[in-house]
Parts: sequence; structure tokens; C-alpha cells
Amino acid sequence: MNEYAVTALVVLLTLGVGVALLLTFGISFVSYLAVGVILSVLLASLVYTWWKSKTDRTVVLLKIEILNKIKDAVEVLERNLRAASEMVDVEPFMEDLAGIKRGLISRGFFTGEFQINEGKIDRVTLTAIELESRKVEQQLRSLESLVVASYGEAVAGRMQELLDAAQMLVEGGFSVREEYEELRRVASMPAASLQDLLEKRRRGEEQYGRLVERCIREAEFLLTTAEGVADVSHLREELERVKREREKVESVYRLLRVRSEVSSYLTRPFLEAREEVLAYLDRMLELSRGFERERQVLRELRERAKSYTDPGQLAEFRSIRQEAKRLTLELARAMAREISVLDEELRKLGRAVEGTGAGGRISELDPRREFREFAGSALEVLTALAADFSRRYREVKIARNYPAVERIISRKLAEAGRVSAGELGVRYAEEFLRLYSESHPEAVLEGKVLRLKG
Amino acid sequence: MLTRWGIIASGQGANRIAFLYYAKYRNPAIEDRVLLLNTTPADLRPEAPLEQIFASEPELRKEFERIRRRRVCIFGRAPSGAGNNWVLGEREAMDDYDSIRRYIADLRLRSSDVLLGITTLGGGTGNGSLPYIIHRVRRNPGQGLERVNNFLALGILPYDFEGPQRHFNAICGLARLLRYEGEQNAALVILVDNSQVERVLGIRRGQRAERYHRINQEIIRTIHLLIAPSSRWSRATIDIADYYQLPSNIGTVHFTPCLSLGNDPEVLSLEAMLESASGNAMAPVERGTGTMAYIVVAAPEERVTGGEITQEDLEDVAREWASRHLAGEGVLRYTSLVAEPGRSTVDVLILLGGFSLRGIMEKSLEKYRRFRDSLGGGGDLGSRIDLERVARLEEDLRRYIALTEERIERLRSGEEHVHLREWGFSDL
Repeated sequence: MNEYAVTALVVLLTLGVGVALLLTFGISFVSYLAVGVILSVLLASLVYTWWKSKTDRTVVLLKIEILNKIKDAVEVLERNLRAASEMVDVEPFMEDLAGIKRGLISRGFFTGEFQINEGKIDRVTLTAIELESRKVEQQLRSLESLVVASYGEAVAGRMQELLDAAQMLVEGGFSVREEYEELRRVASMPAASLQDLLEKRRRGEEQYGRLVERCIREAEFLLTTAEGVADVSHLREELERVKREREKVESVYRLLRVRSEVSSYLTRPFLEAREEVLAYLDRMLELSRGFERERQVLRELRERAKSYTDPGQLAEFRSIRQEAKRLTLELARAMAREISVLDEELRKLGRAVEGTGAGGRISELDPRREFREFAGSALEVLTALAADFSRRYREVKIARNYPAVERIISRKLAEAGRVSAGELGVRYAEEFLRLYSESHPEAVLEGKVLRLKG
Repeated sequence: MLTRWGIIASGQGANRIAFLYYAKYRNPAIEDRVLLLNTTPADLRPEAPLEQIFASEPELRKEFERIRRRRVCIFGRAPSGAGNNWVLGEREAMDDYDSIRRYIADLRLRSSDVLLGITTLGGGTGNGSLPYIIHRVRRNPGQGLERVNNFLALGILPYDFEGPQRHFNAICGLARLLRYEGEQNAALVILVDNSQVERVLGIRRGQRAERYHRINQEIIRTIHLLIAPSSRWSRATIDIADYYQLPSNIGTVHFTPCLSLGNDPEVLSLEAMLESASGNAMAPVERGTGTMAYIVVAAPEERVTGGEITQEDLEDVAREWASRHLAGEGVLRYTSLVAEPGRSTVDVLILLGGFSLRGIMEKSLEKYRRFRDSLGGGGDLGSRIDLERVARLEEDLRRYIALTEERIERLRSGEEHVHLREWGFSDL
């Protein structure tokens, strides 16, 4: 802005002085003077621009920023190359990268320790630094694409190796289906850069580690269970070795061997556990009539338990027992709630409510107790609750529907003088006929037939 | 395609029923095609007939405001309305027909749509105007209005205890709904008797304050079930032509609803539900005189899709029911199962038709005669009850009753298919 103002002022001043001199000294004098003044102004402008650029730090900061970017890019690639060196030979790429670094140092942008050479960059124009930056960027990109081609292949191979190993564990009966699916998801992740590839490999290895860890825990449980029935010390040693070499894919075979052998000792405990759980769930299903939401969950759990047929899957019954305990409490609470709703309705319908209900017995259900113990008391409580519920449900249904059925009975009696339980076409027919006979002295119940007296 | 319905309610009582149905059910088959007709005293406050409803359900006032301008038509010039004189109600409708026609035209009905006219038969406004409006709309609707042939009528008969004039109006109204100027008038006449509904609902003396409300509720449920077979949830559609075409040809077009609502499908079988409904006829029906029946069963959707209640089961049960309750097993029977989402109970409507009108006439005839004999032929020209016209109406009704009785007798004697054969049908 200042430059424009100064220029405008100078031009106006020059024109004013020019006109005055023209009038005073004539055209030839003024022409010499004008040329002289213009030359002087141009010279002054150049001097001003040079002085301004010397005092302005913006350009210097810009140069430093560009060089910092170059430095970061070089260092990131160097770091990634070192990380990738675990799987591929990166020496030739490292040498290329060192060549790029040497070039930058020799041109004076960086010191020998690869630090920005601030003392020297003043003598280099911004444009020159920008051109150098673009050139280095291009070189790094080319170098990275060469590394990606080589490392990408290695990562794909490793992922496939992990997937194959994990699949063997799944097929071998370990309950790691979820972990395997997650590993598959990681393996199919797209990776375009070296950074992406490194991240993909890291996550793949971690997920595989989790999967193997779960298999080890499962095998440990099976070994502990089998210790009571057979000598499995050699298998315990195998498992210890697996723990030490868990990252090696070869450990998979050891794990499978341990599981397979230990399973052969577990047939009896497995069948007992399966039978116990299924019998309990069957009984729960019988007692949960009228609670469709809970029954649906129970049916699903039963199907899951039924699907385990391999003694090596004994560990699964731990979670099924826990789930069965949780569902027992859920069902008992739902029953107690419903019983209280029915009690309220019976009161509204003017019917007496028998007993206080078994709702208070829910506190007897302690899920911390061992399953067998829990199941015994749970079935007692559920049986009591189911009996309470069905009695009240029946009473409510009869009370609610009596007015409609009473009219039907009256009409049928008026038509034929008699009506049997079968002719009524309603559920609880005998109970309805009994109620009718109690409130209509003109009718008498003989067995399952209601007749008009006389 | 969904059959579109419209409702025209004339007179205060009918206004309440139609408005309640519109506001409570928001039936997509009706949308906002409801028209409330009334005479001049309601001019300044057209909501007056509905104040009772707003007192108990204030939120419905908003619904009324939505339809107030386009769906409330005040007609006539008499300062005190029709004053229980159907002749005056009819005269007012004739004089203001152009105005009424414009409101009906605004319902944008097509000739295939259905109109349900509602009126109480004991009064003057609705009883006087509705038969005339039906006649005009079915025969000569006038400029800007398509002929709507599917015009059904729902007439509400007065209480037994009401005075002779109300019963005189009812008999004249019934005659005019059935026939007008020597021709069949409404395509179908559905009759509801206030006293009978009270008996069915078991309304005792102490509960009479709420009697209108409860009767109206029964009527709007009837309307809902009547429309249900043309909804998308119906398993077997009863087309609107099914409702009236053959009854028209047979010559007997009067029906009454028999309702059984809120049945528990866990306790009552379909047989028991139909049995229960047949004992709840909304007009006095002599047992075994019904000749036609349309049976609509609205059941919980999951019970229908789960196969617990099926159209086939309903057909079987209905056949069995008809053999025990209709004259000679009846001549017409349609059934429709409607699987309604969100319901837990079963509602049953038996639209029983062609039954003997003896029960209805019995309670009104004496009062009718007493009032007719008291008429001296005086009054203004526009409001005078013309005794010659009354005699013609009486004659029309006598003929209709005779025809009905003849049909019942024929069916009872086993000649039930004569009329359909005359119609060109072979053996059924």
C-alpha cells in the first residue's frame, strides 16, 4: 500500500514540477530533467525492493518449512524401511535413500547431521528450494513404490499364513470363530502405502496373538479337567512350549495335537455336562409357557448347547451355564412381575387372590453358586412361580370372559333347556358352567351338562 | 385398490356419530370425506351438537377445527330448524339442495366410491333431509356432482319410551329410506334401535347418563367393521357391490348389525364368537327370520398369519352358523377375515339382513297411528304433513314388509333359490 502511495505522490510531484519547469525554462531543459528524474525513480525503486526483501523474514520461514517437510518425509521413509526390514531386504532402498540425503547435504540445504542449514539458505532463492522439494518428493515416492511392491507381497504372504493357521485352529474345534473372522477382516483391509502395510501387519499379528491366546486358555481348561481322569503331563509340556513360541505358526500343530489327545480323555465329562445343561434348559422351557420372549432366548441357547458334539468343546459349557443362570433370573423376575399384574387384575375383577405368590423366593436364586446346586433350587422356584402364574392366568381369563359366555349359555338354555361343555365351544367350559349354575338358581349342573330345572 | 368411503351425517345425533368416527379412527378409506349437515339454529355455532363430546374429550376440538370450514354444511332458513318435523327437514334440504350439492361435490367422490348416510329416524332434520339427498345423489345429482350409486344409509330408531311423534317420524323415515317416489332409495338400509342396543349392552337405569356415548361407540365400531373388508388387511374382500346388489334385486335391503367385540381368542372359539354376536342384534330381530348375512371378523394379525384363525375356518363356521340361525339356511352369505395389526382381541360383525320387520314395527305402530290420526292437515304449506303422502308411504312400507315376509316364508319352505333362478342363476 505504501509503495502505491509513494509512487503516486512521486508521479504527481514530478508532473507538477515538470509543468512549472516547462513554463520557466523551456522544452529542452525539461526533457533532460524528465529523463533524469525517471531514471532516478527507477533506481530508487530497485534500492527500495532490495532493502525490503532483506528485512522481511516471511520468505526465510517459508524456506525452512519446505525443508522441514523434506526432512520429515525422508525420516519417515527411513523409519518405515527399518520396520519393513524384518520381512524384506531393504539395503538397496536404504542406499538410495542415503543418496538422496547426500544430495541435499551437498547442495547446502542440510548440514552433515541432516539438520537444516539456516546459515546457507539465505543465499538460495525460495524458488530454488521449491524446485528441490518437488524433486525430492518425486524421488521418495518412486522409492516407496518400489518398497511397497516388495513388502506388500511379503505382508500378503504372512497374512495368508496367519489365516491358514487360524483356520486350522477353528476347524480343529477351538472356539475362535469370532477372532478368526476379525483376522479375515484385517487381512482384507486395503493398503496402498508402506505405512498402511506396516499397520495392517501389526494389527494382523495382534489379532492372531489374541486368537492363539484364547486357544491356549481353552486347551489349559481341557487339560485341567482331564488331569482328574488321566496323566496328561506330556501334553502340559507341549502347551508350555506353545506359550513360549506362540507367534510361530508351527505352534498350531502342537495346539491341535494337545486338544485332540486331551479330548479323548474327556468324553464322559463332556457328555455329563451336555446332558445336565440340556435337561435344565428343557425343564426351563416347560416352565416358561406364556413368556414367549424368554422362551425364544432359551430355545436359542438350547440349540447352541445341542450343537456341541465334540468333547473338546467342553469349555463352551462354562459360558452356557452362566447364560442359563442369567436367563433363569430373567425368567423368574418376568414371572413375578406378571403374577403381580394378574393379582391386580383379579382384585379389580372382584376375585379373591390365593396366597401371596412365590415372588419372594427369587432371592433364593444365587448365580454365584455352583451350577448343579443353582439348578436344583432354581427349578423349585420356577415350578412354584409357574404354578402361581398359570392359576392366576386361568382365573383372569375365566373372570374376564364370563359375561360373554354367560350370555351364550343363557341363550342355549333358552333354546334347548340344556347345554353341555362340548357345545359351548369355549376353553374352561366346565368352569364356566359351574359358575353359571352358582349364580343362576334356575339351572343345575349334572356332570358336564347344565340343565334348566323343572 | 382400496375402496374410498365418504360419510354424510344429517342432524345432531348423526353429526356426533360421524364426527367421532372420523376423529377416532382416521380411517385411510375415509380420509377427510365426512360431511356434517345441520339446520339453521346451528348456524352460529356449528360445533354445538358436538359440545358433549368436547366436554369429555377436549382434544377432539382441534379435529373439528380442521374440518369446520369445508365439512360442515348448514342448510335451511327456518329460524328454529326442522323442529322434529321431517316434512320441514325435507323442504329445507330441497330448497338448499344447491348448497348441499356443492359441499358433497367437495368430497370429490367418484361413481365407484361409497357414501354412507347417517341419520336418527325420530327427528326432523336428518330424517327429513337424508332420504331426499340420497334420492337426488343416486338419480339426479345435478351439476358438478357424479352419480353415486353406492349410497348406503344407517338409520337409528328412537327409544321405546319416546313419544308418538318420534315413532311417526321413524316409520315415515324408514319408508322413505327404503323407497322414494316409487323407486328403491338407499342401496342398503342398516337399522340400529337405541332401546335394543341398550338392552344388549346391559345399560341399567343408573348408567343412563352415558347411554348416548356407549350407543354411539357401538355404532362407530359397526361402521369400522363394515369398511374393514375393503381394507388391505382383508383376507377375503367383500366388495361394496356384494353388500347391496343382490339384496336390491331380491327386493329386501334392510339389515341390522350384530356385534361381538373384544373376544378373547384364547378362550372363545369362532363358533362361540358368532354365537355371541348373533345374540347382540342392534334391532329387534325375530329369531330365524334373517335371510342374508355378511360376516366380518377382525382378528389379531399374528393369529391369522400363524394359521390359528383362517378364512377357510371362518367359512366353515359361518356355514354351520347360517344353518342354525338363518331362515332356510339363508340365501346370501359372505364372510371376510381381516388381519388387523396391533389388535389382541377378535371383533365380529354379522350384518343380518332381510329379517322380519315385525319387531321394529311392533314397538312403533301404535304410537305411529296415534300421531297420524291426530294430524288435521293444518300448518304452513312448507311444513304441513300431507296425509295423502303419508298414506302412500304407508302403502310402500306395507308392500315392502309383505315382500320380506314372503321371502322368509319361501326360504323356510325350501324354495330359497327361486329369486336367484329368476335372476338367471342356475342351481347354487
